[in-house]
Amino acid sequence: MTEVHLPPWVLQLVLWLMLAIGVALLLVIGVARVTRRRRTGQQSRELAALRDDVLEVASGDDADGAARRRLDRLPSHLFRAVMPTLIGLLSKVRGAPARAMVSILVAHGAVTLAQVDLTARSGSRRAQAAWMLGLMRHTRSVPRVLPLLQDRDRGAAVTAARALGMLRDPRATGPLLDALQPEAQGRGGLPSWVVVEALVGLGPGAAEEIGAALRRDDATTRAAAVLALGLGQHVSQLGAVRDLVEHEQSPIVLAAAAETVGQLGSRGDVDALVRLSGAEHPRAVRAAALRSLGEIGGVPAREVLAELLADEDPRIGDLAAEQLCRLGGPGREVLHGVRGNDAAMASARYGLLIDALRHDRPLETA
Amino acid sequence: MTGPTVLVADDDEDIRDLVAFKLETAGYAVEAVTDGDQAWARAQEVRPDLAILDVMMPGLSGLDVLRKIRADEGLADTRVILLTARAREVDVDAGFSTGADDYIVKPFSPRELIHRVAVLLGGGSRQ
Repeated sequence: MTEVHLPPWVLQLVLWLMLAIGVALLLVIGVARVTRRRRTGQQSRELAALRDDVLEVASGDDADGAARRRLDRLPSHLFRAVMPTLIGLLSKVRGAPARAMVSILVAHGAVTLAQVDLTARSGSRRAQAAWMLGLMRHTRSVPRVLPLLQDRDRGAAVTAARALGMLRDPRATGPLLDALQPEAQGRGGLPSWVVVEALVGLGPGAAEEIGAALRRDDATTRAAAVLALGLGQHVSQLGAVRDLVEHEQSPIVLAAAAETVGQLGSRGDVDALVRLSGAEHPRAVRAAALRSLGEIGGVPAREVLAELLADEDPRIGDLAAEQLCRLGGPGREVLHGVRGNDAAMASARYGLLIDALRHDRPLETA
Repeated sequence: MTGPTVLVADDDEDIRDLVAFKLETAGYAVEAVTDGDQAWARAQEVRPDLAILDVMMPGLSGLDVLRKIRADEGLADTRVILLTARAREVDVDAGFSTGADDYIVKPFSPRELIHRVAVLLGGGSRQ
């Protein structure tokens, strides 16, 4: 092996060069840090001033529109800094201030950007885009958001459903109900609660189509539809719900229907609820019927609940006691008057205890 | 001259700042805090005319603070508004049962909030 001999001056030159490069790097890092600190300081001062503008718009105090105009004209780098606050407030404020905030976002091209991002490669960007369009109540984007219900990314599909609920456009009713079905390629359907919440958000315009879904073959769809009718207070569909209670076989759907009868029904529905509270039904159906009896109230409901205190299933007895407490003084009187049956007395004591805890009342014993 | 004192407790900085901004613009003196423990401590110190409490906060919840206010004779005149995202009937019922004077659900209208504050403080609308 041959040895290479370098003259000493070459080694010295290399050392000096390395030293110079090191010093230059340190200088660059130092200058970059100072510049960044200055820029951050300047930006936070600018943001502090802008935050007042955002608060003025969000509070509805921007009567002359001056704050909104200032925000409309912001350069994009500053607007990017303000945007999270604006979006955060947009989800918590309603009325004219919300509309003003949307107009600022629109002025900065947020709708176009979100529409483009609906087809982005990243699932989280697609989800964010759908959410933004929902927050901005941009109903014209509904046809573009609908395909996301079948998105391969579960998060994007769930967010799209919630965004459609915010957009309140009845055109989304059918696609939302369809999204409950598993896809042929193996992707599962959307969770029922997500679809129910979105259907409720669609408002009265969706009532008829949701009511028609009670006749679909799939039990999950019927259950989601009947829950949405109750939570959405769609009294116009009460007849369809009553039909469902009469003919339904699936316990999941029956339990949901019993819940909805309590939300929409009247004292005329007590007989149907009494039938559903019978021991031949699964506990979930009976429990839903009992809650609805507590919701509707009246003397017949009180009498049925009093009988159920002695039910063979102690959970049903306890639930009957809780519902009697919901009926106020007359219901609590029933619990105080229970005698003779151990199961009924235990349930009555439980009901009064829970009621006292819930309402910070001194404990009355049965 | 500042008007009645309002205690605002919310762990969401944007909401806290917004409510404080709106109240100050309407002429109220505002004490803003970020959690339930601070809310209870400030309530005892400043004895506010009204408290606007978020329900879900770190430490004591808004309902816990409300219970403590209602149990304190020195705060007997303090009105309480719960400002929360919890919109279910059972939540609203729990709020009023615990002693809230009013219950406002988010998303809310800042203008409506200020009207309700004014009504509770007996001064009529300030807007």
